[in-house]
Amino acid sequence: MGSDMEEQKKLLGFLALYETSTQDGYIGAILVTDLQGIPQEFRCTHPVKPTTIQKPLYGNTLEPYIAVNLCGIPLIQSIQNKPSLIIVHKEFLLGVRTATPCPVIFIRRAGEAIEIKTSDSSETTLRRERIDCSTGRFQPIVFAPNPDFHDDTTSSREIIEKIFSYLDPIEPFERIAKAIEVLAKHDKRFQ
Amino acid sequence: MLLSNLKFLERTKLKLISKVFPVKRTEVLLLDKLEIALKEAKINQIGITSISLPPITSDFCPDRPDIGTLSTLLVDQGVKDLTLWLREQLSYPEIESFSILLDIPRRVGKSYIESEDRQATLFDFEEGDKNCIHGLKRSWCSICAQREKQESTTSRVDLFDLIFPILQPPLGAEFDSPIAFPPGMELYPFQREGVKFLADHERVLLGDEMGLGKSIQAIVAIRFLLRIGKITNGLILCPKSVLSDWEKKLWEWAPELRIVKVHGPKEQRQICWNSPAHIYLTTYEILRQDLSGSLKASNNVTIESDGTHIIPCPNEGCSQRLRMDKEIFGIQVQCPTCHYIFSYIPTEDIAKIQFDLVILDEIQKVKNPGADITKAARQIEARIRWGLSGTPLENRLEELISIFAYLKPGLLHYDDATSPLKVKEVIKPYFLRRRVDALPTGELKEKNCYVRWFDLLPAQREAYDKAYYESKFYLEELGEYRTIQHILAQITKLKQICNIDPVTKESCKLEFLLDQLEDVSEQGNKALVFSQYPEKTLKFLEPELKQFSPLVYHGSLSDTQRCEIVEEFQKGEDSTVLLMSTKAGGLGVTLHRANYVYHFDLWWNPAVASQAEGRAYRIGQKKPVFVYSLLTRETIEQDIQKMIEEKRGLFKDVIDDLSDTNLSKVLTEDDLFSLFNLQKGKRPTPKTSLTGKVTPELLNQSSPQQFEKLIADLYEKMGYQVRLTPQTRDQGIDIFAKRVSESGTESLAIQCKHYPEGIVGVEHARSLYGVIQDQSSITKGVLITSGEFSKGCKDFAKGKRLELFNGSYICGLLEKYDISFFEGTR
Repeated sequence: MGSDMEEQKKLLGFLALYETSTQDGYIGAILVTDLQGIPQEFRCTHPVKPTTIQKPLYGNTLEPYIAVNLCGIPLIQSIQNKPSLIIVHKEFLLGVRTATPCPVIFIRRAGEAIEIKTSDSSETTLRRERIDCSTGRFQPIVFAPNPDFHDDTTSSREIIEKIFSYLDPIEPFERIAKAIEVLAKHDKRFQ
Repeated sequence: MLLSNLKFLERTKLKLISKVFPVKRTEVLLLDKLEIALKEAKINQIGITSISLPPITSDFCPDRPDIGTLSTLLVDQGVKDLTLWLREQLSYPEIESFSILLDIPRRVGKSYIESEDRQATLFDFEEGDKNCIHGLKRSWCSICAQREKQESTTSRVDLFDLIFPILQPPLGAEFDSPIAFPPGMELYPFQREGVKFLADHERVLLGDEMGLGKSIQAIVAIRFLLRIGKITNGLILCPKSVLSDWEKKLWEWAPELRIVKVHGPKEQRQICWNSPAHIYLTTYEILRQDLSGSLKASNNVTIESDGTHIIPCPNEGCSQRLRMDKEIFGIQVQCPTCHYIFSYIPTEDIAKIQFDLVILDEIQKVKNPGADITKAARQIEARIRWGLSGTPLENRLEELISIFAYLKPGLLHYDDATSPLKVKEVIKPYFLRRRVDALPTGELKEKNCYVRWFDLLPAQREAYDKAYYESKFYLEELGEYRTIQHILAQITKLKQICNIDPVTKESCKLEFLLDQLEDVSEQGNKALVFSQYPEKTLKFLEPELKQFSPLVYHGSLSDTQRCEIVEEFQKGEDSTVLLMSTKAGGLGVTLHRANYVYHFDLWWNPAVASQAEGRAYRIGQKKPVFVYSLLTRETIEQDIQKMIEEKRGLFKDVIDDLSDTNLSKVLTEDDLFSLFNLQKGKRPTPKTSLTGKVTPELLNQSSPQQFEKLIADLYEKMGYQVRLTPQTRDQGIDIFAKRVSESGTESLAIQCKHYPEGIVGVEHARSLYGVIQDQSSITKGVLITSGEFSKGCKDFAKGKRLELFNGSYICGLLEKYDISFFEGTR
């Protein structure tokens, strides 16, 4: 009974990076929910807008650098409700794992095209695992931990398998995207 | 000769032909020299300056080469290494520098749970942590925490409160997500269909019959659109009588939304309109007031681009139109024509008019295009427009066309009023109406109970507050002498004001009832209206509801009159509504012609209300029954209701077996005193029984006089004022007992039959009934025996104003009220 309660108190973090509505910057966001997907906390950054000089100088490292160093790690440090698992929607966001004791996994729908940003850090090098939804409500997913933290696989798989019967772990990213869109509508600082 | 003839013939032929086909003489153009002569070429002369020889100076060829000078210079400077020297002479090039460092952006956001250092979850079993309406433990529920924060700081809403609904899990395409609704709150299949209809269409009219939950369908549809980010805000316009009810439903069905109820004085409304929110909730009348500036402009005031107002002279009879510059607003001016002196202060709009969505509840209120409330409502600019109406005026096409003129401009034209079939066809995709009778079996419960909450109207509120403080003062003054009877009398007084303010006759409940009865009547249904107060409430309601030809059924009517009223209501078509005293009409009468029941006020024993509803919800009822309990907010009614709900919840948690009858015993005297923040007055300690329990055997040993005295003592302990009648000329009545209760004064005529181990026959019941039948002041007759009653006696008493108590029951009561045999028979 007690361990069940502990289980229920677990939280999930969904860390994402999106382009701004004006397509000239990036906004990082983290949504913390309970295991039912009910939001507990939401934090996001103001847009990071690299200049036209900075873009070519950073090259392919631009997005990962912004995602991990400028947005991801500071966001994880700023949340008050610490999650038991952080789920990311872009492979390069796995880099935040070095700064948090919490397991971090990259997740995507099984069968989706892989977006390869850099040749030496493409998803093809990751140890991927597939999970099917036991109730058949959602399409199967593929997840992968940070290559330097293989032990995350077991603990993450346990949580994901538990929630996947009723909660689609990819869906909260749609909420984050919509929330950022609405923030931009209400406040120009998020555009 | 021949030749000459031939020539002649030729000439003649030529002449003839020239006569028949005359040939025009060829025009000869004469070109004279002037026209064709070429002009002589003009010779332009160009002056060519002569090129002078370059001057040759001595500098052109230096006499000494520069290198010689440089060498001298280097020697003079002591330069050994020319490269080194040259490097020193040249300045460094400017280096363009760009910062490639990206700064860490600012982080914003918020935690949605109350306690920042605790984690939220669905289940927690801490003691005292009650379930919230979402089925979660209150301290862990982020939705409830958010709501509490909103309530405490209504004007402080940050951006992250506004995106809170978007961060919620989706409702599911079929609204079947297990976490979409709080436990016990589910949509019926037809309601899910209605929600989809609204969510899929931007301009529609939902015309479900009353009681099918139009507002709930609309709220769920709003919630759906907000969650998918299709809308960010909306406005709900409704009649005043249902404003609070909308607010309550929004809280119950969409608790994550921030709702701003726009009401109160102008300054408060202005703040409300400017507060960020998901949904603004207000009445048609308030919107009219808050858009009065532009309404004036549309009526008789012209506003020019520079802000100048052209107004008609306020002096009646003077038709002069006056130009009012901004500078003279509020300053006294004189009309140059009639010399009338006045000052002009333009009314400004304070209402917002831009929304993503607008809902017009009871949209028929804005059917008249010339009315100000219609004009105000039509100023609202919203992409999504939904109308709700239980009576969508299918038979009055002009009004339907007028409604659609706002909902979907251009869909219908006033000329279409002559072709109902065309109108029906055109609006078909934009109109959904379900009738109660036409719903598939099992789609709706047979009995549907709703509680409607209202805010007291201004004068009513004033009267209530005054009465409350007077009551409290009075009870405090009584000190230790105050009893439960005193409390009940004050509660009665306050509850009556909640029904109607006796001075101004204002009644928020009546406004709602009138709206409802219009729909009930239009649908060909009938309604019962119950109140505990025949004198103070039903008498007031009767004239107010005269358009529905109300019948009144109360305790002071004779049995014949009662039968006639029931007959007329059941079989006649004239009366739509029957006003009933809860006590008099609560039992034994069949009124299944009505399928709408309104409790104008509630007894605190829900079993009594349930019995009253049973008049309509019984065998023979062919339609679903809709029961509405009308209650006022921030009054003693709300306190009592809250208390009952808490007790009900407590019992449900603990024993899960609380009938409404048991509940009546749950509200203790302490509970009732606490309604006035008072404690029960100190009362004398009950005397200890000398002999212990009163048994039937002991009862049998008493004399008839002792038995009567015992019963009188019992009723006195029960809170009645008791009068024993003389032994003779008592018309069979032994005791008169009177008590002021919540429902008014209760008068009992008690007859005691001391028949040890004997049986009381029907003749005694008949005799008692004969006495009380002519006395309308007597609430009921009570026949008490130390023995038993015959079957005939019991049958006779059924459904009449008669109560029968046998020996065992009386022993039980004597024990309960701690009356000893000796105490009672001294």
